[in-house]
Amino acid sequence: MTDDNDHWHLDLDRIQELAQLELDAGQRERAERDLQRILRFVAEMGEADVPVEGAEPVVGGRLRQDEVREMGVPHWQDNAPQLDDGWFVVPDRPDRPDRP
Amino acid sequence: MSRPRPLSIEALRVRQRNAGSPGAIVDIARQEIEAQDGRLHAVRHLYDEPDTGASDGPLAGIPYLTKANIAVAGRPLDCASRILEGYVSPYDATVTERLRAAGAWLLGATNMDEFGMGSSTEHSCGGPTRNPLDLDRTPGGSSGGSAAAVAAGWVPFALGSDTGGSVRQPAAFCGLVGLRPTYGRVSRHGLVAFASSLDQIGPLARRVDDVAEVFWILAGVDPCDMTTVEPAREFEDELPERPCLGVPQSLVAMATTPVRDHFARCHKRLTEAGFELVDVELPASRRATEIYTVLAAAEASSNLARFDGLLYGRRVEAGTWERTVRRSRTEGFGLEVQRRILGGVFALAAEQRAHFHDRAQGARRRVREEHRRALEGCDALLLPTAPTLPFRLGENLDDPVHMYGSDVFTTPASLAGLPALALPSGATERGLPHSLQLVGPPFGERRLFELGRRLEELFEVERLQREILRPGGSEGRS
Repeated sequence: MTDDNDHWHLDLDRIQELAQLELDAGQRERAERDLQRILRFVAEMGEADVPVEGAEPVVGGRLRQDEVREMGVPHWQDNAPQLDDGWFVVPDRPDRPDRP
Repeated sequence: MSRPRPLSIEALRVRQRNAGSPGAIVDIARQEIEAQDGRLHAVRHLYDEPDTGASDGPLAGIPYLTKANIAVAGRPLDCASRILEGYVSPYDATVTERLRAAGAWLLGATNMDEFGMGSSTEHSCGGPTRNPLDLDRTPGGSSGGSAAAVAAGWVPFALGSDTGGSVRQPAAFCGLVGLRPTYGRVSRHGLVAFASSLDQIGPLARRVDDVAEVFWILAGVDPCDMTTVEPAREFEDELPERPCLGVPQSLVAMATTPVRDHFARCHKRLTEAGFELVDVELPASRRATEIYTVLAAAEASSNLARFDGLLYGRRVEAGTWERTVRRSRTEGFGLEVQRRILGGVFALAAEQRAHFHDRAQGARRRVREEHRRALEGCDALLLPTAPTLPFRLGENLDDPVHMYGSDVFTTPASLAGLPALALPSGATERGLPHSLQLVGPPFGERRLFELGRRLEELFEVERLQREILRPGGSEGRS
């Protein structure tokens, strides 16, 4: 996974795709540099390392009923960038294979 | 009209009663902000008309400010991010409703690091906030606007949110008291999520009494936030005559020299004053910031996936759906937010997940477990709030790892889900504040307040604040 202890192999094409970002050459260079620094930094958490068995979330909480609730929010469409007769207008997806 | 300092809720209550008309105190606060915020840039949205509170609550007529990531119906909610430019919240956060029912009047929203990601309030799309104690320095972050506004004396309290230290560190940098509540104590319904397993809303004020009063209004189970829980145990017990504080010396050693020296003096004074100070071991917590960096980034990358410019927020039209989403996000998010999203998706991607995210999750368990054990042997933990004094604007801006280091003493309690109270303990000759942090057992806020009051008295916080907090902020002194 690493070339050596100080340098991580970063597939920036894949990372920016997962992040849904579109970086230009300068931004990529900066992202690469920053991520390398951050990864070197977090590699030090090794000292606090424990086996992965305890990897489930550590916070609790309750489960609510899985049922439809009336939100009573009258202005929920007010922030839409574009509306047409109560419908959200969004860009086309010509590259989507399951397009009707 | 000048005001007595420190500006406490009680002092304002008396003034409000004498003034008679509702909103009299609020108008003065609003005028002060208009006149003085040009220098500090602490307030991001000053409402034309305040959000009025109930007429008969305990905070009737008391003005406050909220953070720009907490929802108020019909008001801007942009988290200091371009991607939410112009966004108006359709509903109230639970904390907003609770404070309104208690009578508080909301004047506006404070500046912050975009989506809460930062430790200096420099990562705001609207520019940085300055520290009213020294205009060349940061007020801390990410709730830096809230801290600066309270320190400037405009409002007696403000709300912040604390993921890895974003209430406590700004409180420390501005000479104030700030609380991170126990995870599950205060509803996050209406708080724009950054890292859901860590986010908490907490108050900043001048004194422990005011933080406590606001906290008890905020606290409670909320059907809209299923992570809120009834306390397993409410600490009603009186503290012993000689309270016992656990000091994680190996953690404290990570502070810079001025902070370490000050902490050593506090240690001595507390011992002389009859506190029992014992050493505790928190070895995994030395890596809390690294663990936090991985987990917070991973959760942020997931939480911020919703911002795509399609249904709300700022859209950058770029032809197709996919390109529009990518352009909207790339132009809408600032540098630090992009860094965290990129780091988060990397840490969660199948190839790295076990190495980064899962290991961090396991290490978090160890942090939590060692805190539980440490707190079995003492009433609370004591450590500094931040490893440095307030640093200069721009000082850490090009070095993300250095900036993350500012959270080295606050991330342990965040990871452990424990309540933590930051309070002033002194100042340098130039008037830069020192701060101590008390970390308590789960739902141990009451105990923290009681200890905090004793520390306030011991460290003469009232006199200290009169010296270092000046109306509307001071000129840069360095």
